[in-house]
Amino acid sequence: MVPIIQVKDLTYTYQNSKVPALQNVSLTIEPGQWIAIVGHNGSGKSTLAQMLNGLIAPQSGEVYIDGELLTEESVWAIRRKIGIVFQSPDNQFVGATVADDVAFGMENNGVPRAEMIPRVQAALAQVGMTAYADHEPARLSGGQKQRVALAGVLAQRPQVIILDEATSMLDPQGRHDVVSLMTSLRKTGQFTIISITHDIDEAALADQVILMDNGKVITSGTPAEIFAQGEMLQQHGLTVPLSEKVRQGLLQAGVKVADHYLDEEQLVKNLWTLHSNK
Amino acid sequence: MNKLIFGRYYPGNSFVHRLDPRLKLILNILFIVLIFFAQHWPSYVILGAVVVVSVWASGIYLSFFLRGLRPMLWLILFTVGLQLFFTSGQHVYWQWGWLSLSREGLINAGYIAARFLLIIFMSTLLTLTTQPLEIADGLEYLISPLRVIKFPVNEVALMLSIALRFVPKLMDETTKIMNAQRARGVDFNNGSLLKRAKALLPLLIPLMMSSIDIASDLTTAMISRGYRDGEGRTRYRILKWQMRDSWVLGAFVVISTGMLVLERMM
Repeated sequence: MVPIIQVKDLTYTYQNSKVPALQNVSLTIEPGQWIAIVGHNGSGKSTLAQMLNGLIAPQSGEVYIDGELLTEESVWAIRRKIGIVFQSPDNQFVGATVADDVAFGMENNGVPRAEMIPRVQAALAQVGMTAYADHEPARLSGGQKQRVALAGVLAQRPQVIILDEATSMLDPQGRHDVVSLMTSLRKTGQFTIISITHDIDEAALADQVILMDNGKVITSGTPAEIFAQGEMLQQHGLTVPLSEKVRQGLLQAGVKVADHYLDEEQLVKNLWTLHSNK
Repeated sequence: MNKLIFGRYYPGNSFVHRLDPRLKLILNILFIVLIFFAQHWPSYVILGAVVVVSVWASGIYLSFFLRGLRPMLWLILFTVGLQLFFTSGQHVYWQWGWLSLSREGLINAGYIAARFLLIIFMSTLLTLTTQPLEIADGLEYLISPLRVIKFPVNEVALMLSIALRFVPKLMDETTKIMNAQRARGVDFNNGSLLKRAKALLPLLIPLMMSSIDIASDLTTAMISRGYRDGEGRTRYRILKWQMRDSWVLGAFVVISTGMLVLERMM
């Protein structure tokens, strides 16, 4: 299978900066996966995301999307394959109403109006915002705006959806809504999802976690593999998921829980079976 | 604070609300032109009737229109006063130095006042019954012939619509910055004019900075969603000319022709 994303040896230094934001980053991502890129602020994760659709051109290295090399000629075709939801709910809302904003990307790509109407409706239904089609952005909550942004991305029928800290400015309810939407999108199997985040609980939902620091990939693996190395996460400025903290606390207190990473559900199951086995 | 500038739209679904914004814009312009052809009182009766019927058809209370009148009140009084006292005429009723009150002056002042009222009522009707976005769409259509001289019609229309969309956001931002400055002891409401103007400086600079930040974020988002320029774009929102729009336009043509004929006969 052709990897959906392949980057080779990416290096980039911002103007007025002495330290490179990315240093020799190479990655391969298979289609249909949910990848979480974690790292603290300034680790280079957002720079990497913006390089995937050509918003930033690498100073050296190559980006392949769906087997195609990203160049000045192919960049517009590639932007159609990759949809990005950005951090700020307000500053990416272009349209004057919800439906207008969802249609914005399709308008840019010259989709005929007759085709846009059903696609806007379908995308709004997918994110549960149909009732808000004629609302202005000022009347929506942050979580609702991010769902609209996601609908705008879905309407373009991309292969890759990148969420660049899309939940970091939301309240708990909004965050929950967006995360559960991502989970349901993963189930359709149509998209490769890349979530860039420093919310470790969100990263725990991914198939694969990539840890970045100082513009380099430190390590990658399944959430279980990464979160078992709690000390290393903390070294790179991240926290450990709640379930891992609880597990380690229990171990220290002498409770014989499992000796590997468990997500919340597994931990609860582990605890009650432990109790009933006594 | 949100309601301050563009809050003049009065949500509704009346006959006037549902008219095409292009029609409403054109009629407003034509109406103003027509007013300047009106030299005799029967024309003012006709024009007044047009306004009364339009206001009635919009289903909006008169008080909203009177509110639109308030900011213009001093201008009207001033102009009417000028006409009243500085028009020279044969039937002078009262004179004091170079001020005189003549019959011609009275008539002129009456016409001026009527013109002001009619224009203000009609344009208030436009903004009360048409959303800013619709007005922007209508304007885009009306200026589209300028494409011939390479005027970037699509870009200007998108700029206008984004500007309208960000008005409430910038209002929020202003309130936030004002509160932050108040918490640091800035007084926006008291002191001399100069002092108050100075107090605005720490408000304007952060506001400018945050606008630039927003613009930069928005640019990134627009590019990643495939925006290049106005060329090759399709449109999701379109205006539909309805039967009722043709009827209204027809009625207006008949009425204005009638009025012009009447003017010629007098």
